[in-house]
Amino acid sequence: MSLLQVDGLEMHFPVRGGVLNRVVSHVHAVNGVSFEVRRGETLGVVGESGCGKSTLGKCLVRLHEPTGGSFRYDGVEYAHSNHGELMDYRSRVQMIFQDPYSSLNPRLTIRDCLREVILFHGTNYVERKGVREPIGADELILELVEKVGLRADAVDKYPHEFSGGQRQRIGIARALACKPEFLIADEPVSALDVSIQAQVLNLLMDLKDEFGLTLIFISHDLKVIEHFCDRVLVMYLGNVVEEIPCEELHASAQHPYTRALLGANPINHPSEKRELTVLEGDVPSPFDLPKGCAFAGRCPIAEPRCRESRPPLERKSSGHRAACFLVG
Amino acid sequence: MNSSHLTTRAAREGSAPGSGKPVLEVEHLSTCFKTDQGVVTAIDDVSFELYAGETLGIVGESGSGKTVTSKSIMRLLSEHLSFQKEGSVVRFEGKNLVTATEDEMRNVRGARIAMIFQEPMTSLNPVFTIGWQLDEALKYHTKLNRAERKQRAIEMLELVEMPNAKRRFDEYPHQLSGGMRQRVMIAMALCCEPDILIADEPTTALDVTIQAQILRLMDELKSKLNTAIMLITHDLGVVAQTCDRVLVMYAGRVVESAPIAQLFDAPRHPYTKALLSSIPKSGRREHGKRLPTIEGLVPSLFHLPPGCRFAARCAYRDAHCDAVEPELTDAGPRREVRCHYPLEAPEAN
Repeated sequence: MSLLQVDGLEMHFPVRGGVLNRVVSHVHAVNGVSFEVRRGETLGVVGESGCGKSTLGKCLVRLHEPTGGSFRYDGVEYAHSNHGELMDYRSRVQMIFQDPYSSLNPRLTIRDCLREVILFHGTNYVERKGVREPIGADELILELVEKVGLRADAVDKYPHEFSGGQRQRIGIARALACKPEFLIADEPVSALDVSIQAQVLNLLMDLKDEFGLTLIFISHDLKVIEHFCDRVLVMYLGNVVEEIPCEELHASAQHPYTRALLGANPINHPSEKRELTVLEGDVPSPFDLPKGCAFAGRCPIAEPRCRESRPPLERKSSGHRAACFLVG
Repeated sequence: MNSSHLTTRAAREGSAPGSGKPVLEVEHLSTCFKTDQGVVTAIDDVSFELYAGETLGIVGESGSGKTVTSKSIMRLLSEHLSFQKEGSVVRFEGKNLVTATEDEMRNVRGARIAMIFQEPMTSLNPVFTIGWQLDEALKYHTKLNRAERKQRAIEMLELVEMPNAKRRFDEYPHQLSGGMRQRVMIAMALCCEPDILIADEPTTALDVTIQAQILRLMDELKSKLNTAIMLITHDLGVVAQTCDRVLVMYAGRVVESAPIAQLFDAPRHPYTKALLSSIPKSGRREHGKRLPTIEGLVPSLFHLPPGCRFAARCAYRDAHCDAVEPELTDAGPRREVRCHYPLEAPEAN
C-alpha cells in the first residue's frame, strides 16, 4: 500500500501587476502531478531549475497550500488541512532544505534549535518494547547530534561555527528530532563539495536504514539520484514526463527529455567521451504554458500533434510511466 | 555560423594541441592575502604550462585556490589586500605579468587573455545593453570603426549560437536567461580572439542541458581558434568530457598533474584517487551502496600542518607525512605528484 498518494497536485502562483495590483497571470509551478510513494522506498525527483521540483516538495510539507489536486498521507487528506490538523502531519513528515546557510537560525545554538522541535512535538521519549519512556530533551539532543556524526561539544555552538557539510548534518538532525517517518530532502547535497557530498549521502543512507524512513529526494543531479533512489520522477515545466525505476533508467528511459538529460550528463571517465546531447533553446516560461506537450519546443522528434494536445502519463511497464505520444 | 575572420588565425598559428612552446608559463606563483588574522598564503608555489589548443583543467574543492590562481594570472586581485611572493612568475610573450605595469596589463586583459566568470547573472553590467558591453572591448582593443564593430559583435553573438543575435544586441542582461548570459560572456571574452581563455566554473550555475550547450561551444571554439583554455571546475565529469590535461589542487598546493586519461585510470596521489571514487557513477549499478568518502575537512589555511596538507585525511599516511611536506616530483611523462608514497601506476603503462 502506498504511504503517500498524490493526485493531480497543482500549485499556481498568482502574478500581480498594473496600477490596481490585480492578478494578471499565473506561474504554473506544479501542473497536475500524480504519483505515489510506498513505505520504505526512496523516490527521486529530477529536473532543471524552474521545473517545479522544490515547489512540489514544499506543497507536500504544506509550506504552500496547493491550489488544486490533493494528496493523502497514510490515508488522510492533508492538501487543505488547517493548522491544527497539520500538527500531527508535520511531526511525521519533515523536510531537509537545500541551503545549509540560510535554513538555520543564526541566533540559536544547536541545542536550542533541536530543543524547540523536541518540546514542540513532544518527542522526548524512547520506545522500549512498545512502551514510551520519557527522557530528558538534552539526552535526545546528544543522541541526535551523535547520530548525524557531529561531536557532542557541537551542541552549544552557533551555526556560523560550522562548515557547510556540518550544517547540513544539523539540518538533518533537526528534521529527525521529531521522529518522522517520511523525509523530503530538497537538494540536500547540491551546495556541498564532492567529498562532503559523499559523506552526507552516506549519512542519509544509514539513517534511512536505521529509522526505516521513506524519502523523497529532490535533485538536479541525475548521478546522485541514480545512486540514491529506487525510482525517479522526471519533471519538466511543472509536469511529470516520466517515472521509472532507477535500475532501468539507462536501458529503458523513453521520454526524449529523459534521454536528453542522460545524454547531457557529464561522463564518468575520459574513455567514455562522446558528443553530449545538446538540446536547443531554453526552458519556456512557466507563465504561458504551451497548449500541447511542454517539451515540444525543444524536442528533437516533435510532431504537429505534440503541439496540439498534451500527452498523458501512460503506463509502459510495471513502475514505468511516460508522457509522450511518440515513444513506446 | 560565420567565422571567416576567425579561421585565418588558427591557420596562421596552426600548431597541434600541446606541441611547441607554451603560451603561458606559471612558475612558483604564490599569492598571499593580508587579513585581520595575519597574512595567509592562498596559493603556494603553483607552477604549470599552458599550450595553444589545449584545455587544461584545474580541479579542487572550494578553498583549494583554483580561482585565486586564475585571478592572480589576470591580476584581478586587490593590490591593497593581496600580494605575490618574491619569485612568482607568470610568463606570457616573454613578459612577467606579475610585475607588469597596469597599462601593460590592460593590453593583455581581454585582448590576449580573457576570462569567463562563474556567475553569469552578476558579471554583466545590468544598466548597459549587450551590444554596448561587447562594443566596449572592441573599442579599446581594436581599430575597427563603429559600423565594423557592431557587425563584429553580432558575428560573435552568432558564433556562440545566440538566437536572434541582431535583436539581442540591443537587449539588456535581465532579458536573457542564464545560459544566454553565459554565451554573451563567452562572446565578449572571444571578441578580441585571445590566445588564452580562462573559464572559472563556467557552467556551475547552469542546468545540465545548458551546460552541455556551453561545453560543446567551448570545444568548437577551441578547435576553430586554437585558443588555449584553462577550465576551472570542481566537477570531474566536466573535466573528463573536455580537458586534455588536469591539475589537481588541494589547500593551495598543486598535488598532482597528469594527462586526462592517466589521471582517471591511475591517479597517483591519494587525494585524487579518493576524489574520483567519491562521486556517484552514472549507469554503473552501484545503487544503494555506500560511497567511499574522504573523512574530515580541508585544513584551514591559517593553521596548516607542517607536513603534507592532506595527511590528516589520507589513508596511507605515516609519521614522515606529518613531519615533512613532500615536493612536487616527476612521475612519468608530463606527470607530477606531490606525495611521499605515490600510488603505483599499473604495470601496463
